[in-house]
Amino acid sequence: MQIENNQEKKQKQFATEIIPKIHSQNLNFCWGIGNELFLFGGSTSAFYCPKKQRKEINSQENNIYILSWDTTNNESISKFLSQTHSIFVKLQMKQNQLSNTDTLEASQGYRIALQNLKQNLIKQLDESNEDFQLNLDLANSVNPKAFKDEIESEAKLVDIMERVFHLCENFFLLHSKYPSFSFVRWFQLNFTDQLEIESIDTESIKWNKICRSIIHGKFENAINLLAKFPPNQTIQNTQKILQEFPELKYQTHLTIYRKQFQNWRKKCDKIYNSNEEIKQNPNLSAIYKILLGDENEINQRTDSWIERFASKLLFIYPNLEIQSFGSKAKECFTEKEKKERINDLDQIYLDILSLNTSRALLRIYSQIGNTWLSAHLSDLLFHIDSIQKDVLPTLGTDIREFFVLEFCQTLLSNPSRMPILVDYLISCQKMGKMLLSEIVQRQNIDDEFIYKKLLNICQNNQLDLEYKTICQIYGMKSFSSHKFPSGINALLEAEKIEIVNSGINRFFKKIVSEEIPLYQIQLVIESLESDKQNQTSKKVLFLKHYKELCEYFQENQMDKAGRLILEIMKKEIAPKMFWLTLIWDAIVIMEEEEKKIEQEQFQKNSIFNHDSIMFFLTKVKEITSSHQANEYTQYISKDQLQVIRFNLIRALPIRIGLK
Amino acid sequence: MEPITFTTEHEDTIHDAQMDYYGKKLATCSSDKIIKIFKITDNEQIHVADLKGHEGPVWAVSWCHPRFGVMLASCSHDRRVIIWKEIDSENNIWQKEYEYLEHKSSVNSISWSPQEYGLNLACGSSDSMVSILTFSGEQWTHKKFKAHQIGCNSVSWAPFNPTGSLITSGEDNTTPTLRLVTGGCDHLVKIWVYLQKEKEWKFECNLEGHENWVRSVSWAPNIGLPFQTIASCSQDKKVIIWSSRSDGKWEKNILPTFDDIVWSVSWSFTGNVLAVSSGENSVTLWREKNDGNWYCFSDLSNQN
Repeated sequence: MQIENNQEKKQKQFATEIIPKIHSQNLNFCWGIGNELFLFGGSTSAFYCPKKQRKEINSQENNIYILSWDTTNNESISKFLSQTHSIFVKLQMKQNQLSNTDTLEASQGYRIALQNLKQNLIKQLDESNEDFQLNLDLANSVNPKAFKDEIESEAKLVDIMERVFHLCENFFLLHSKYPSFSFVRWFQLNFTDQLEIESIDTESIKWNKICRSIIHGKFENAINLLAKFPPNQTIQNTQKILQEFPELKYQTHLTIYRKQFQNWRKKCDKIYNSNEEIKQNPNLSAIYKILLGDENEINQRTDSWIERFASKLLFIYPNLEIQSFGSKAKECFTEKEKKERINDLDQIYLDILSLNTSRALLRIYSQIGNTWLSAHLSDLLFHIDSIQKDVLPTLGTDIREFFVLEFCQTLLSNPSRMPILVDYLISCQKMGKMLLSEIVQRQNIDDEFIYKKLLNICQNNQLDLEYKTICQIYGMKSFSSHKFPSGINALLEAEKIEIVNSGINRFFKKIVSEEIPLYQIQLVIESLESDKQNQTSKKVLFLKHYKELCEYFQENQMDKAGRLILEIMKKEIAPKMFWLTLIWDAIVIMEEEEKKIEQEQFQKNSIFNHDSIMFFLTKVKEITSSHQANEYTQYISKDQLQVIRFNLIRALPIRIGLK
Repeated sequence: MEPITFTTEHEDTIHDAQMDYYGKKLATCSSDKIIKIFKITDNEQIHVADLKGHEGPVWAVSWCHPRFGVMLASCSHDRRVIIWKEIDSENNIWQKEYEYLEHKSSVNSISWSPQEYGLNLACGSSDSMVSILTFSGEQWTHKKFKAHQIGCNSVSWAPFNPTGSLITSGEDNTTPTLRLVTGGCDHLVKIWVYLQKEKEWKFECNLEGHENWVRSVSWAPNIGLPFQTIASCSQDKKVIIWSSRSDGKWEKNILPTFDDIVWSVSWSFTGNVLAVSSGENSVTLWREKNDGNWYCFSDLSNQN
């Protein structure tokens, strides 16, 4: 089967993208995430020409073009990736205990997934065609022909992928002791068409079909076709000899098979040489020549090297050793075929038959260009020791890891692929971790769910630095959105105490400027208390007292509130930004005191004595004369500050003598 | 595979565009002196902010690592480097965090160092100098050194390498080493190393091979390969890939000659694909084959 060189195809595809010409500018770019480029008509500093001097100004100069490739946004492909991801993960989990059954199951699983993908693609195409017919707008906005070409091209590629997988499965897993049988089976399933016996009319076509069936090892078909002819002894003998062809079955002992084949051959030879009718009938003669392994006859009747090779394996060297497969397959090329360039797919088959799996995979990668195939096939072959495991100098790693990492590039472009991507990266011990580190850090931490997921990945893969970076970023984001408890928790985890302190200051500013529900303060306290190193103990203490203070005010326990204010100010627990607010609260309590209590009781029960008032006045002076006065006084108005001063001075003589 | 198009509404030519670390925001800069910020989703691109402060065409923008906050640097023909910080993400409010005006000529290229080294910004200028701005926790400091005669066109940092440098510099090989590559009008690509003890930048080596002004340099990201790679491009129509293995020597591999001046090179973040812009309207993507040669696997030509 001929395939178009995928590189050339891609180049043609890219080259025909419709990007309007941007006059007199350079096409410049920046990378997106994964396989994505942002293109723009940007001139560099060297090419700068002031606008006024430019003759033409194109309105498209300020456009950005987002181009992506090898992305996995197609629904069918997404389903396929999920399916095959499960198979891949199972293989890695069982790694050291893999049996032949496990690897065979995996290979068959991959092939079923490929078959399903092809069917889904075709279904998608059929459904789209209906949509295009029903919806003209859709048909106008999306190029139906280009879409159809793309899907058909994908389906064709999937066919090739399945074929390559099947060959490796047959050759290395299923019938590795019986390579001839493997190859012939593979050939029959992938290259021979179903015969429509009923529709065959002319005699020459019938004979042609009979010969082709025999060449393909489909004796049943040949027998049925012979039955269309008027029965005679020769035809019956031929049918009989075809029926008696020794079929190599799985578990047949090779020595026994060899003997069976030789006996059958003798019988065949005897019939051919003793029957003049056969020799005189060119069609019958051809059949017997094929059965007797006449190379010339086989060469004449076959169109491709694969067909030729399959026939020769059936009739000339059914016991061919696996080591000789590559050389014998190459001998099946005609002179003409040898002169023409062997197409890429045939090269891949030849590499596999020559047991050069590494070269086959490198060809798959560079010629077919499908990273899924090279990754999963190399992984499978790796597990059955059918591939090089040493580090290749040019790749920097072993071949399996190289291809799996290349496949990961394709997954990168789609953020929803992250869980799948992680599993593939983890399976790459040498370089996967580095890439995982990069990728984990590039996940936008939108919410707590993603945050926890990322931390989990870091913990499971010993990405300690990345763990802390993610905590730090999440903490900072939380602070920006005023989610202080989660921010504090994250930053303590990141061991970024300076940012925690900065965040707490922001929280303090919020408290002092707005009314904050007490439960929020409690949550922040609980978060800070998780700081095992007690680096924020003073702040925790203040918050606890502040909460207590708020509770006293709510319960109208003014005497307790007043005493607490004095305590937190005298012990310097309260940050400076709170001083004026606290003093204001103290003044309110003082006024209440003065109203409610008569002189004697006032003297005995007063919370704030002369010294307290002097203390408050000192603090007011300290704040207002500080170089950061604006910062500390911003939470109360100028009028309120005046009132504070006035009331403190007024209260002073009243409280002289009070202790 | 049609490209998605959106209009930035810049009033003049766009000189640079850069995606942020998460691929969620795009910053563009233009000759209209404005930097625009866009939020990018699967289906749309929303213009969220304009940053105004430059007095000339803005040549380049660069996002810093998110662990330092949401910050963007820009450089311009007006000799300024400005560092912008997003102070309110909900309302998309930005402010100038720092402005650097020590260059005597246009600043052509800027690049943030790997985040493991802290907050450092390299700036390359037409006054032949390279500045390294560093934020120490409280303030911005800078170091300057002469890099290229006539002018420096491009700067790029070496990726963080915790196992130590592959190129010995006489320092303790177990400590990570800051390295920078620059490209200039003297046709040279130069590598610089920061000496921790002396707290100075030192010239390490020249990479010779170009025959005209070097327009762009890019140090490939490190994904664990046992070698370092730099790409450089020049007005001599060449792109050179420089590789250094364990012996510390740099070997060059010249890509097939281009038809026109090569303006810009840049690695994908996984470091295995090199994008190259050349001539008037061409962007090509290159990959290394297993035999060590490079091949172009796509040509994003600009056609009518």
